[in-house]
Amino acid sequence: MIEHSPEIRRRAQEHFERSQQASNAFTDRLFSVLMLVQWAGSVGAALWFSPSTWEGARSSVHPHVWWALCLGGALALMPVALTLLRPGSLTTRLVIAAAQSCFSALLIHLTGGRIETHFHVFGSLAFLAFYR
Amino acid sequence: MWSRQPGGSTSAPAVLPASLQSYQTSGRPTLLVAVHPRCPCSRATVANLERAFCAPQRRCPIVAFVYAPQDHAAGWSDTDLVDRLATLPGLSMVVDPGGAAAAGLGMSTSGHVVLYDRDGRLAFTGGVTPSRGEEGDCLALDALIDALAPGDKPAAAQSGAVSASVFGCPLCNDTNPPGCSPVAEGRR
Repeated sequence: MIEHSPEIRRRAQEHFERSQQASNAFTDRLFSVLMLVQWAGSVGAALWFSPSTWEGARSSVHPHVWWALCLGGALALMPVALTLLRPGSLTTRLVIAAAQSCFSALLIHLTGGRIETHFHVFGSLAFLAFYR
Repeated sequence: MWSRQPGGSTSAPAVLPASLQSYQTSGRPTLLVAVHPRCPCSRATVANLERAFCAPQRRCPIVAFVYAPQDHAAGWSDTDLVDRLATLPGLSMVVDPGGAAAAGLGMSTSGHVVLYDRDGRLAFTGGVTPSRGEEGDCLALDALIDALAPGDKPAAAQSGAVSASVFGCPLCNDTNPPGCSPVAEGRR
């Protein structure tokens, strides 16, 4: 077995940490784009499935549209902000993972609990399992 | 929370009204449902009714009261929800201007279902979804399916009619005629 000098080990460790940080930051950016896409998707789903609520002949904007805009916006913008401010940090990854889980719940709710939307959970779990 | 806030309803007649007995089929229950054609929440009601009627032995005459405004334009009620509703087996559709006919049967919220057993006695009244716009299994749907099952002793004869909360858009507002009251007693 080759014994490296302490200097080489230190430089290797530094190189590994820089590479890992760059990889984490790149993945955070990918997830940030996904968050914005999911936000747009949740607003689109709300407008498609339940644009209006009715009371007799009167209609008004359905609460789902506001939830998609406001809750979806909060879920998307927090990770995006952290990605810009603290790329690659543990906090950013944890917030992104939590937001991704919450997006599954939001999309399931907006589509009326459809079975098909539950596959968003399974897809998210697969990506989050690699994203640690 | 908004999605779990039940809509209003009043007491349904204890027996099938004479005006609806022409829809009754011998030995089968009769199901009435009120629907606002543009209520997105009621898609879940139709989906759950499809589940209830997927078994041929549960099928029975269905009378759907489709809300329309008093002065509605032609085609106001032609929506994908009504098209889907029309695919339920044994369904007769009644356009209900102002929701007055449904209100007379205790139904003032879209998605309200009233079931009369084969003897014409009230067996079930209420919604069949777990919350607004959410389809899937729930106690109310199970109760409706139990009441639909043929050969069983009528639910009304056992322990009275089952009632459940209704989740959907109100059929009435303050511009509706008398008989279609937007304020109604709540249910559990």
